[in-house]
Amino acid sequence: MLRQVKPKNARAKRALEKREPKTVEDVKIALFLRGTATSQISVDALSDLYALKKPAAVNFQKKNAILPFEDTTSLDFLSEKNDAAFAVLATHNKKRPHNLTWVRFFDHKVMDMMEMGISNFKSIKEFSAPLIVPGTKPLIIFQGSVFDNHPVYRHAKSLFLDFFRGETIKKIDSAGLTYVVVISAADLEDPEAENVASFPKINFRVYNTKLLKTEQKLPRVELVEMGPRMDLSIRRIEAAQDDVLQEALKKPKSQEVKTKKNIDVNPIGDKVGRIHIDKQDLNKLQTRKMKGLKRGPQALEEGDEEEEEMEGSEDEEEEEDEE
Amino acid sequence: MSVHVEKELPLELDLGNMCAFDIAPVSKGIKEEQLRALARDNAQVLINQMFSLPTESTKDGLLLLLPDGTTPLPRAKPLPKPKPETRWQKFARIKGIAPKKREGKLVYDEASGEWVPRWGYGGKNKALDNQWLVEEGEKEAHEKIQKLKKQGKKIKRSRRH
Repeated sequence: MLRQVKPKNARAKRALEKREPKTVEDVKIALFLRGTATSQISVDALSDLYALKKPAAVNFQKKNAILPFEDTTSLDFLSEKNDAAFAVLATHNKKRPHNLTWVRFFDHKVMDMMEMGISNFKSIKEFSAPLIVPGTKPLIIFQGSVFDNHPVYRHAKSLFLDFFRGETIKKIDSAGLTYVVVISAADLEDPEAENVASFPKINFRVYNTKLLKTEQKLPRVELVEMGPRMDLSIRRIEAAQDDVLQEALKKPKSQEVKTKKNIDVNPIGDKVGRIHIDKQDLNKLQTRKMKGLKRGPQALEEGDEEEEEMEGSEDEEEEEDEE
Repeated sequence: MSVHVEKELPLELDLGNMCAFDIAPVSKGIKEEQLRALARDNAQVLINQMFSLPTESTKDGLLLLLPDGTTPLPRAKPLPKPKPETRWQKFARIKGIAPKKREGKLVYDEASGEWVPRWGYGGKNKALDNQWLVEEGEKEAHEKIQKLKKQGKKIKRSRRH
């Protein structure tokens, strides 16, 4: 944890307020880091991803001795310093060549991680497609049943969707649907298999969209590959702890839609309301008083006496409770 | 050129996040061209749905109004805690003091049927200065009305304390 900075001027205070938790969050910033040893492929892949994630991204050029699966403290520190919610670490060694580690943070602490090996890599530079405007929101497509029924691929889906989705916006320009990120994976031969090395690779493709005019209102879509292209094999995974994930998935109360209770519209179209009243004690019902019918023949004498008393007090305005 | 796509299994869409999920299984040794064709079909379906959203026309172009996202995604930071009320906020709430709503510069003029500025360039308060025909005593009457207005406001302000 970094030391708490107390703002000494208004500008510092504003900078601090920018980093505070908000009901509707800003874009998640991603850190692009290099490990102790890197390969050309892993670094190229890193810079391509940085190009897609700009401007909500920070690209570090220097090498860092970070081993995410052993110690997460340096990652936590970097996340806090840069206000980042994601980190992608490129490494290369004999055991895990051309490695990318995707890390997601919650409250500036590592929440979950997934390590992937790159194969069949083709960089953006090798494609001749037009470059995208940084900050554009992509269309994202997931292909394959594994993304729905296998926990590892569901995790990968959550990571990719969260990483690429960009800003949460209410309106988008119809001309702004310029590129698509397509992530596909084949089915597992053995759904029960535990060995991650045998899992099918994730095909990561990015295409530029060409919207062609048709006679109808809707355009015809053509895709032109723009890169990067990579096939990712799944290596080590660290899933999020349940309590942390639950905390992260909490929704703010204001977003719940409150329906007005007890108000309906009947078939005729009238607005009808329902009022609920407490239960009525029938013994205490105030009905019409018929004095003559009050007592039975047994209590006639007492009744007469009472009536005399009553007559005397009839001048009083107060009504007496007979029971 | 057709925009129609036949899908065996309908795509699950999350238009708020601009994404689509195709749960049809993908064949193992799929070729690049087949992958691209499948992606094109899915992208066509997704874009068809996007273009069917309610729109807003602006001078910059057609804006699509996106719904809220449906996929649950984790937040980066925990939910903000409600801040304690300041002394002024508490006082204002009890007294029922609401922030003063500014009238704005424009005021509706019945004579011309337009919104004219109250003061400044082309302001309504200067109309009487430029009138070429003024009835006798109208200037005094006008000035008296302004004076009474000022007095009224002064009394109103003093009542507040």
